[in-house]
Amino acid sequence: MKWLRPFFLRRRLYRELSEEIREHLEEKIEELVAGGMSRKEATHAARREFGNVSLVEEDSQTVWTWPSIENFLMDVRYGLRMLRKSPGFTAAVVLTLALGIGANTAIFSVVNAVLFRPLPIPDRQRVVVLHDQFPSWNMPRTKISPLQFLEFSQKTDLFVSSGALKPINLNLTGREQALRLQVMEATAGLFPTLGIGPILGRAFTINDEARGSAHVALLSHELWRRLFSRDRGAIGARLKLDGDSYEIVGVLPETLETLYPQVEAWVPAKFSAESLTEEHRWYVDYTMVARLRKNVSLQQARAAMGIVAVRFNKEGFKFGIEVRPIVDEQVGDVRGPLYTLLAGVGLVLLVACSNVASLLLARNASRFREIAVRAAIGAGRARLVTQLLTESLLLSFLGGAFGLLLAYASLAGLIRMAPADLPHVDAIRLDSDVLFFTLAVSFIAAIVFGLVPSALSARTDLAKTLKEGGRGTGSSRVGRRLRSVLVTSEVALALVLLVGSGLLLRSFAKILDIQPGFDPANLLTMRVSLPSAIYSNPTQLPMFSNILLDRISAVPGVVHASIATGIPFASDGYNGTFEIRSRQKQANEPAAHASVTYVTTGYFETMKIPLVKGRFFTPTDLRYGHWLAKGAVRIIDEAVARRFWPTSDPIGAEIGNDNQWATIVGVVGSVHDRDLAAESEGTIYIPGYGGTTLAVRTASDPMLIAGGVREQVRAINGDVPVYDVHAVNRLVAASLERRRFAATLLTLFALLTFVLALIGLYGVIAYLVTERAPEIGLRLALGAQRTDVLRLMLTQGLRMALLGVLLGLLGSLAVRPLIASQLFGVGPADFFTLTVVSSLLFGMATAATFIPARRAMRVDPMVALRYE
Amino acid sequence: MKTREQRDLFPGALEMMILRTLKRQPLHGYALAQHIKRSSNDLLQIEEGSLYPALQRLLKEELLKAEWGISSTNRRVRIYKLTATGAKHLEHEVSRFEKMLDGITRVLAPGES
Repeated sequence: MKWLRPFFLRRRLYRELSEEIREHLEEKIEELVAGGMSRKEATHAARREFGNVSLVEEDSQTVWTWPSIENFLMDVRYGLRMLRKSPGFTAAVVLTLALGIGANTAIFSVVNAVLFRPLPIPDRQRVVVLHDQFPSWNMPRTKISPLQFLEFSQKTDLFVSSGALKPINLNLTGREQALRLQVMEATAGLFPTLGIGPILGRAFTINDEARGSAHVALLSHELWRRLFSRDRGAIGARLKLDGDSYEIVGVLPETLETLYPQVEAWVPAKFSAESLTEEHRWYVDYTMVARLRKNVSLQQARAAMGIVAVRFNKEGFKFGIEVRPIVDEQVGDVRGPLYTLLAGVGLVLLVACSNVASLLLARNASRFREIAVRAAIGAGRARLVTQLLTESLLLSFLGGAFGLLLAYASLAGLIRMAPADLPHVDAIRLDSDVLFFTLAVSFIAAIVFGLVPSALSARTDLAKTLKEGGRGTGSSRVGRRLRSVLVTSEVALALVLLVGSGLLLRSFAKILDIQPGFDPANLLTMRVSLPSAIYSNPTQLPMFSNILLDRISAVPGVVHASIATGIPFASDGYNGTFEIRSRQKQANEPAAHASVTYVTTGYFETMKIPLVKGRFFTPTDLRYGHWLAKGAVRIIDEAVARRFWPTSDPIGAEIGNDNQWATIVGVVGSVHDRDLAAESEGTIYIPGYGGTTLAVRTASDPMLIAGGVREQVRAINGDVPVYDVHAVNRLVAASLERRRFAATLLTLFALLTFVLALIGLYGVIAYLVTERAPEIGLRLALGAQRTDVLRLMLTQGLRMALLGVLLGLLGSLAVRPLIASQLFGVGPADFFTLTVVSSLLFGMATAATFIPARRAMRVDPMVALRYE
Repeated sequence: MKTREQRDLFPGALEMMILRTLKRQPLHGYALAQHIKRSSNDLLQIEEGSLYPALQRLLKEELLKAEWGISSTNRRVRIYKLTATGAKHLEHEVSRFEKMLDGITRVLAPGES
């Protein structure tokens, strides 16, 4: 650490040096006095002989310094002094930068947590998820069937290993309280494929998959903590799940929860013999995860699976297999919106920087004299640029520090606002990555806004500036032009952002206008989980269901109640295939396909789904299970009617499976089942018991009545857990959260940019007026009208605004592809949005120009000219 | 950075003289200055102060070391001493200087060719 010594010992060294020199002089003086001189003469002589004491000291000290660091520190001190001297300027710059950097930091912390956080999978780019694709049914991505899983996983030339999984729910009983567990069924191959093993005990083996083998289960880390307080004795303990006893054989690591956050326990998938038959080829309910071989690329795997898929293509039916990296599976849906936000917030910073650059240009112009003096006494250009850049860096880091505070303050709100289904949302925080990002952004920002103004100022023509008494010279003309370029681009960028947010807002408004096909207001839903003793019993289930409905209907405030297998936005229904009687099907053509929902009689009244044709179900239609026989009836919705009976009347048509048929007696309106922005593929309603989702129409706020309904379930059977209790309108709103999040933030950024651009425009014109006051005074003195002066200034501003708006329009057209996928019901070049936004921007720009321009009109010729 | 002691001398001359003087005996700054002046018969008009930056440079390069002590006139002074590296450096510099001087002498010598 020798090189550090000078730095720490410097003070002592300097002190010793001074002392030494003092002693030297003393000794000399004494000698001279001894030689007969007077004390005064001797002092003079000694000093003459010695030379300039302070210079000698300084030169001696210089030996020990690091010139670059010393200069830098000096620049910093000087810069701080300059910034303190103009607090208004400093505050404006720091605030502008803090807004820009703060917004970027906040958004980056979200993006970093959601997109960049590595999944806990070793070599994760080799792990893929496989999906079926039915483009002709408008189903771009579905799960796959057990049969397909077996076939695909045999492609060992592509995959090292593979696994299938499917979420299920099981009731945990035999403890104080019945619990509904979120369980994942998985094949033994899943864990090796992910590269994640149990932290305790063992994972599944191939034997666990065998039908009839003993029931085993793996615990998630979370459930292990909750049920067993992390006791290793959990291994070998037993859990009662849906009445069956499962042996706990292992505990999975916490890291798996970033991948499957809700899953509490895992059980082996045991495919039934029936599920592996050709008839069940399209019963798609499993997700397949596979690990690619080392020498197989994603493209090769896609091509190979494409060949497998093409075999099933038929006239009017297209089938595909998608191979998708698991990273995309996790965050693919949010990547686009988040990148849009990141780009938007980047534009905010760019505009902030350009505003600051503009301010700096103006300020440096007024510092020409100072700069020229410094140059005249020997500062090199590089030294001057460094000095000015140091000031920029200081400003930028101050802005960064305040930005960090701003981000810290806004992060909690941001997380609260974030859609609940945003993956890894709990990982959002200001960590070292984010700090580094802020630091880097501050540094880059300083270069962006500081370099050009500094270089420009350092180019000052010394003699001319000094002669002209420090007023503007040639460089300030360049500066002026540069400032108008900056402001023009600010206006352009603001317009791009405003158009983007305008389009998102309009899409959002259009989606809000969509009717879901039922009335979600005052609608309560909850799910019950029935013990299999009741659920699988053909007499028990109808009895239980009827008693339950009777008792719920008697609760004050309940208007209607019914039971279904699933209701829109609350729980997933499931898909089914069917045949249409006397309609010939091509060999190998997949069966007709739609959502299937079992409902009790009051369902359509409860949901307020309108009848289009035919009739509703009556109590005599109701049966237990999937009953097909003479007298069995079905209701279809308009989407199914359109797809399968485009030209004929579906009433009276018969649908079914295996030569057993049910008659269509009614057509009801279609509902959106998950996403207002997506068309539903249509639903077939079966009158029957079998559902466990309650739909309750209430007279007032449904959550106030939920307690009473719950009480009735408990009164009938205390062992039945009630879960997923929601007001349906809240669920519909939640489905829009992502769009709301993106639209809100982008609008916020757009407004921020808008204001910054207006301030920039205002600043440029205001500066122009001040700078040209003498000239304006002269014009006025020579007889120009005040309105001419106003027009002169207005023209300057409006030219920039107009050019900015035009460039911005071009820019919005250029970034169309970035936002197109997030729009609904509006084109990316929506005329209405473009017109409104352009006029708004131009109007506000006119106002921002007018205020300072009016000042030009009030210039007093005498005052202005006196300064000449 | 310009250093003033080099105005009348070639670069490194002052350092060489300091090292040469200190090789004979350790001295403090004032004595060193007087010694150099005397031994050059006051031919070299150097400012006494210019000694100090040179001394600092030599200290930094560890060709010298300094210790506080008491001078013959009973003053607290810093006495400079040649280090082993300093001695070696001096030898090297002197031989380099002699070669250079030799060259210069040949060029300046009148008429012999």
